[in-house]
Amino acid sequence: MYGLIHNSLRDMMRTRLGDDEWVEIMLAAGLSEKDFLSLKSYDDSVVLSLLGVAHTRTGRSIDELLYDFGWHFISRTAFAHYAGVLNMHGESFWELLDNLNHMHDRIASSFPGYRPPSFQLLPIEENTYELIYSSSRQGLTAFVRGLLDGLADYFSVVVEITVVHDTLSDQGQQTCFRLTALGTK
Amino acid sequence: MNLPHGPGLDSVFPLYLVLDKENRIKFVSDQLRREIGNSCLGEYFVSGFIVKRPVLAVQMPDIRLLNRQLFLFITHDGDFAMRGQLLPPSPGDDDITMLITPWLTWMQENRLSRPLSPKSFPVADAQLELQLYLNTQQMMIDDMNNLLADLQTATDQAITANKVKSQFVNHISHELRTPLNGIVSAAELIKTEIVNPQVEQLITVIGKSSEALLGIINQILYFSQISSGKVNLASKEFDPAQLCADVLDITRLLAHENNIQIQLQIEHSLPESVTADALRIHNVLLNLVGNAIKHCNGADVLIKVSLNSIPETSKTSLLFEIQDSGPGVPIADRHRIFEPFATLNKPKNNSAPTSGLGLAIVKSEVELMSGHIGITDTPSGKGSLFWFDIPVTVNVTASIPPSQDNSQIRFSGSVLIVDDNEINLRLCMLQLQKWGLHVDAAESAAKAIELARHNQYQLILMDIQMPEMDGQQATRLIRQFPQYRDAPVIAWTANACEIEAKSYVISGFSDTLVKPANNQSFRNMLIKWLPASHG
Ligand code: HEM
Repeated sequence: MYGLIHNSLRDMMRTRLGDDEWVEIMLAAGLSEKDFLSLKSYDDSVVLSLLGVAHTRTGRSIDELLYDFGWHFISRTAFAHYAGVLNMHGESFWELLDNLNHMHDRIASSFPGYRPPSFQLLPIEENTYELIYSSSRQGLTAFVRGLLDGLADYFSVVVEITVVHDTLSDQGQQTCFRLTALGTK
Repeated sequence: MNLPHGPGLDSVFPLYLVLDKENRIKFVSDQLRREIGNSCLGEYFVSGFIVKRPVLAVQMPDIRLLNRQLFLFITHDGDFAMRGQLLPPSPGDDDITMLITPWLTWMQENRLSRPLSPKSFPVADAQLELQLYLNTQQMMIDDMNNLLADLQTATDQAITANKVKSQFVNHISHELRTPLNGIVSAAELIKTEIVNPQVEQLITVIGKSSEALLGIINQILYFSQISSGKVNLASKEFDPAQLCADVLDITRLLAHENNIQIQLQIEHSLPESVTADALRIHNVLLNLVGNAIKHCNGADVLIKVSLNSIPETSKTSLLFEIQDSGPGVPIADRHRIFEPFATLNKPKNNSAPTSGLGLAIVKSEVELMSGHIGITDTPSGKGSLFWFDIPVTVNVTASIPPSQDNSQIRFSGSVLIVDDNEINLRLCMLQLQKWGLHVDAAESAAKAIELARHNQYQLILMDIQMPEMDGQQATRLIRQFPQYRDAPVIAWTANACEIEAKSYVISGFSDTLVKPANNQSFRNMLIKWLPASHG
C-alpha cells in the first residue's frame, strides 16, 4: 500500500498509544521513519507487521486496531489532506459512498501499482442500502467499518451498519454491509 | 434548438456553451446552468465573462479565430472559473461550441468551500487526479521535512555529544598533566640524590615513562583543541630556509642516534621572507621529519622546500617534501594513515609508546592553515614521500629585523623563571644565560613570590600550571609588590590556544610565551621586553 496509508496508521498509533510506544512498535516491526513516505508504494507486509506488533504489545485485537485506523483515516488523513477532492465527490454520506469507486479509480490513474478497493451502493428500501465492498486483499473488513463510521460521524448522520455476508476467495474478500439511515446527530 | 453535436455531448463534456455568429452566448448546457445559471445568455462571450486567457480574446474582433487556444475565464461574480476550447465551426453553420471544464486550481485557490460536483468534470479530465496527486505530494514534502528535522536533531545531538566528549578529554588531560609533571620532576630530583646504580636505573625508567606519558597526554589535549576549533592561526614573517634549518637542528641528535644523514634541498628561488603560521609549519615539519627518521631503516632522509603558485589564483604556497627510504606505506592504507589511531605498523615492543595522533594532528594543522597534505611514492620507488603545502604571502622586501638574525645579541638585567618542571627550568636557564642575562629559577609559586619580594627582576617568566598554587595566582600576588606593578610578567604555557593566551593577558600577565619555545620565540619575546645590545 502507498505510504500515505502507513502514515495514517502511524498517526493513529502515535495519537492513541503515545510517541514512545509508537517508536517501540516501529522498531519491533523492523521499520524506520523512512518507511513512511506518502508517495512511495510499499509491500502490504509493512501494515501487517505494524498491526501484528501493536496487537502483541497492547493486547488489542487486530480488528479493533483496524477499526480505529479506519476511523482515524477519515478524520485525520482523508478530510485533513484531501478535503477538496472529497467534497467534490459528495456533499452527503450517501453521495460520497456512491462516488467512492469513481474517486478511487481516479487515484488509480495517478498512483502506479495501486490496488484500489471497489464499492457498490445498492438501494434496498427507503433509508436502507447495501454497500458491497470488494478487495484484492483479505482481512480489511474492520478497517472499512471504521471508515464508514468515521464518514457517518463526519457528515453528522446516524447509520446502523451490519454485515450481511462476508466471502473470502482467491481473488480476495467481498463484504456486503447493510446500512440503515437512522437520522442526523 | 438543434444541438450542433447532438445530446451525447453532455455525457462526455457536461459543461459547454454555444455562441452565435456574433459570438453572443446562445446556449448553456444543463450542467453548466446548474453551476453558473443562465444570466449570461445573449451576452457577448468577452463581456459575459472575465476572460483571463488568451489575452488577445478581448482585442480580437472575432474570437473564433482562436479555436486552438486555451480559454480561462471567470463569472463576473467570481464564483466559478472555467477552462475552455472552441470547436471549429461546422461547415454551413454560424454557431460555434465551447467545451468547458471547471478550472480546478483556481477554484481550490479562491473558492475552496464552494461545492464542485464531479458531474461537472469529463471522465477523462485529469484535473482531479492532478489534485489528488498534488495533495499527496504535499504530504510527501511534509514527510521529507519531518525526516530532515529528525536528521537535524540527530546531527545537533551528535555535535553536542562530541563537544561533551572533547571537553571531557580536555579536562582529563589537564588533570592528568599536573600530577604527571610532579612525577617527572620528582624522578629528576631523586636521580641527583641517589648513589645506588640499580635504583638510579629504575628511577630513569620512571622518568622516561612518565615523560612519554606526558607527551601523549599533551598530544591528546592538543588534538582535542584543534578538532574543536579552539586553535587559531598566528601569522608572522619568517625565513622558510631558517625554519627548515631549525627543524634540522632539533632532529640532529635523533638522526645521529639512528645513524642517519638528513639532507636539505632548498630551491634557489625560495624567498627569504614569507608570512604564515611559522610555529605551526615548524611543528608539522618536525613531526614528519621525526617520523621519517624513525622509519628510514638507516638510510638518509631528504627534505625539499620550494615555492609554488596555486593554480587559477595569484597566490603562492610553500611545498615541503620529506622522503625516507623505509618500508613505505601500502597504497591501500594511504587514505587512512592520517586518521586518528591508524596504526599501520605495529610499534616494536621496545619503541616508545605513541598516542596514535601524530599524523592526525599534522593533518589538522595543515588543514587549519588551508594547506594540503599527502603521501606518494618516492622517485626511486623505495620508502615514502610525505608532502604538504601551505599558502603563504611572499614579502617582497625581507622585513625581518636584523637583530633577529643575530646570534651575538645580548640582553641585560636579571630574570626570574618559574616552572615546576626541573628540566624546563634548567633548559631555559641555559638559554637565557647565553644571552647575558642573570637568571634565578623557582620551581614553585611560593618560592617565586619569595624571590620576587626580595629582588628586582626586569622580567618574570611564569609557568601557568603548577601544583599547590598556579601561575595566575602567583602573578596576582607578585603584582602587589610595588616594583612589579608594571614589570613584564610573561605567561609561559603549553596551551597554544589563542583565546587562553588572551585571557592570561587580561588576568594580569604582560604577554604569553608558548611552550616549547624555540630560540627564536625566546629571543623575540626578550627583544620585546628587555633592552638588547649587539656585540
Ligand atoms: C481522498 C481520500 C482518499 C484517498 C487519497 C485514498 C487513497 C487510498 C490509497 C492510496 C489506498 C491504498 C491502495 C494501495 O496502495 O494499493 C487506499 C485504500 C483503501 N481505501 Fe482509500 N482513499 C481515500 C478515501 C477513502 C474512503 C473515503 C474510503 C471508504 C469509505 C476508502 C476506502 C479504502 C479501502 C477500504 C482501502 C483498502 C484497499 C483494499 O481494500 O484493498 N478510501 N485508499
